[in-house]
Amino acid sequence: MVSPPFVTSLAYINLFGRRGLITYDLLHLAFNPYGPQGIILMQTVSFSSLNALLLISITQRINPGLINSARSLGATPTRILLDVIIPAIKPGIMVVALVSFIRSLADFQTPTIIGGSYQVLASAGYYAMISMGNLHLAALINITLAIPAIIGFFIYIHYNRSLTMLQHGLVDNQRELILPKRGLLWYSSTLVSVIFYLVLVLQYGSIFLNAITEQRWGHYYFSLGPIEQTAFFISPEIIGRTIGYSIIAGFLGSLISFLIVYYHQVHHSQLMKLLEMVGTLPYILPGTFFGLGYLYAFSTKPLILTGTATIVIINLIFKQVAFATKAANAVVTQVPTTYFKSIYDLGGSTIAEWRDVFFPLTKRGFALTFLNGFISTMTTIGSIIFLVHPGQELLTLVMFDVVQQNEYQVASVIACFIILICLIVAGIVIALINLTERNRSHVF
Amino acid sequence: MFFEVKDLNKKYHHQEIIHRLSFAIDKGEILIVLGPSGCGKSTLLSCINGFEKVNGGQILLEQQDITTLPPEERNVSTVFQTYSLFPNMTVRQNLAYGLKFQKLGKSQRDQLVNKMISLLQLESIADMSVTEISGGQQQRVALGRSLIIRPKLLLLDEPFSNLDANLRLRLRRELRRVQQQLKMTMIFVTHDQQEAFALGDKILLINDGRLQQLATGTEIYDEPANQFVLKFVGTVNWLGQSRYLRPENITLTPDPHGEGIITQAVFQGPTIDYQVNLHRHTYQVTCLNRGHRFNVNERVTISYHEKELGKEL
Repeated sequence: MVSPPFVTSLAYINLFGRRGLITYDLLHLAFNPYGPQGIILMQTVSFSSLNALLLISITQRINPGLINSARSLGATPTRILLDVIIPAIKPGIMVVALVSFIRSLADFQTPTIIGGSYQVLASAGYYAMISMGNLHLAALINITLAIPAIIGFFIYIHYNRSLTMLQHGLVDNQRELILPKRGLLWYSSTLVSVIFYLVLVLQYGSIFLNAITEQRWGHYYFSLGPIEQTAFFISPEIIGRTIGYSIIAGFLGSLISFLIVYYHQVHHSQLMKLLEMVGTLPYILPGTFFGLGYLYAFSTKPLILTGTATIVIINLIFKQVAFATKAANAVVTQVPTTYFKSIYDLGGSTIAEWRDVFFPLTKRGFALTFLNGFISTMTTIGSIIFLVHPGQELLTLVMFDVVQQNEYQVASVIACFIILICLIVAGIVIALINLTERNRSHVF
Repeated sequence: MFFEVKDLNKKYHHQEIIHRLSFAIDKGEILIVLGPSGCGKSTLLSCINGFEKVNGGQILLEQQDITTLPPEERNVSTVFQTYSLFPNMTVRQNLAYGLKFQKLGKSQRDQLVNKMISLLQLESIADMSVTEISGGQQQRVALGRSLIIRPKLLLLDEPFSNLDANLRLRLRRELRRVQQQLKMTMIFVTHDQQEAFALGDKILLINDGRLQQLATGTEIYDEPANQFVLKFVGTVNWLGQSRYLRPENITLTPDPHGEGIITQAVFQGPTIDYQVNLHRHTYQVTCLNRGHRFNVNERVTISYHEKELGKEL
């Protein structure tokens, strides 16, 4: 999740390409990795992490008393999984399936890199714009893409509502979901988990190895050559620009989202409720759809922003609003409304409300939303690919270009850079949150 | 004995929660486990139903050692405090759930479910989702779901604690009726003393994980084994040197020259609680609400029947 979305494709080529580590070096096979099977496989692996996180958080909301009740009635672990857990998280499974469907529709990078001659709508839209310069064809293709995405979104809303019904009745204090670790389903899911972990280790291991080794006479040697070569493609300016845009988009995106949610939840503003819904659109529609939209909207008077950094930053900020409002909602609904009423009761104003209650109590959520926005911007490509002009490149765009030029080692180095930056910033933000919470731990 | 616990020990992170607890009950009895919050009542239940591992001792059900068996193999069923009905199932489906693991035919299962619906008067809600029924109805469904599988032992962990007073009374009577009809052996955890006296054939009073007294309600109230039992159950006027008075055993007589002075009067409906100062000692007194009421600062004469821990004076 801290790496560009097409890193899996890069790893796939490193491992299973025509001169891949596994297919060529280990198994001496002449294997053609390109085509639909590679696209489906890589998108599945790529989306699994976020899907797993979502399903884990949904499963953790199941009342553990249900498990104990079922065991008390004689149910085995396998039956509990089939009769209690899976029905309970079915809306969650539908939600992650729909999110994966929508993301897959919008993904042009994976088909471009490993689709070979197999084209999908998203990659066709990309080529229409970049190779043919045909804005209108690109727009038409993106509208076509948007239709199933919007239908999928309405189905997603329906199942998302069902998720709030998950906890019925009273809730146990016990937090752990205790299921005995035995039975056919337990062993099967353990096996699948182990395979998944191995795939991830292979994936990132191959990227890392590719960044610090060179192959000579059929053997791999440690080398700084790929890193030195990367210096021709990226500069401190590109790195600084990428980090700068990410900080701005993360911060402003979070701020706008929290303010929208504040006015909606605390002051019950219908306008803000509408804005919250509209703000979800960048989440469901392909990034290229928005990129083209920005091109159309800001290429004529009175607002000519094409070719500027502003249009890129605006796009990035509002892309964050979609996710950030959801996160902000989850945080703000935990703050009892009586806190806000107390401020006015004691003679305070809106400023006092923000300063003394709203932001202090949502600080942690804000920091995490910022972090998500930062990482998302560091790894984004779809929404900005049509907006960034020469001289304004970001790391992901450079990485995408070098992959298309078959400079896989350079791409691996850039991927490592991006991951490292994201991890460092994540570490700083989490450390700051923990430090703040520890300093106040004596306050009741 | 039908069910026995012998020298049960349970620790959490080196802290002893239950200490060498032993007791036994006969088939068809209701045992109430009573005690203050944090005394180990729910932990005891968790050891009996298998959701907690014990650190020592034995649990025997019909002479079979079930100490280390997993919950689904113990033939012990639990009605949890939070009911934990399956939200994706109807009332009927919740009731039928446990029967799936008993190798019964469909018609037999349906018959048992219909009988339970009738027994607990759930006809009007049988095909409703459990998310649509009231708290009291959920409680009856939770009870029925455990009873239908005919466990050898039924455990109830404060099942009525989330209900209002009237509903609690009604469900208490219903539980007694059902228990007597099915001759079910039950262990019922509560911190409500009235509930304990109303329901239990025997009461197991524990404190800090240790047995204080195992006896009938009458014995516990009239012949408490120690000071903890005396002071936990009901109200007491402690006179020192093992002598005590129950508030209802003090009689107040209006007397303008009496040495007792009423300092507080609290109306409780069927009774009135007074505080009386006499010879620099304050007595708690409970009188039946029979029309006459004493006012604060009124003088009275008091007479009483003293008791001593372990014997009667």
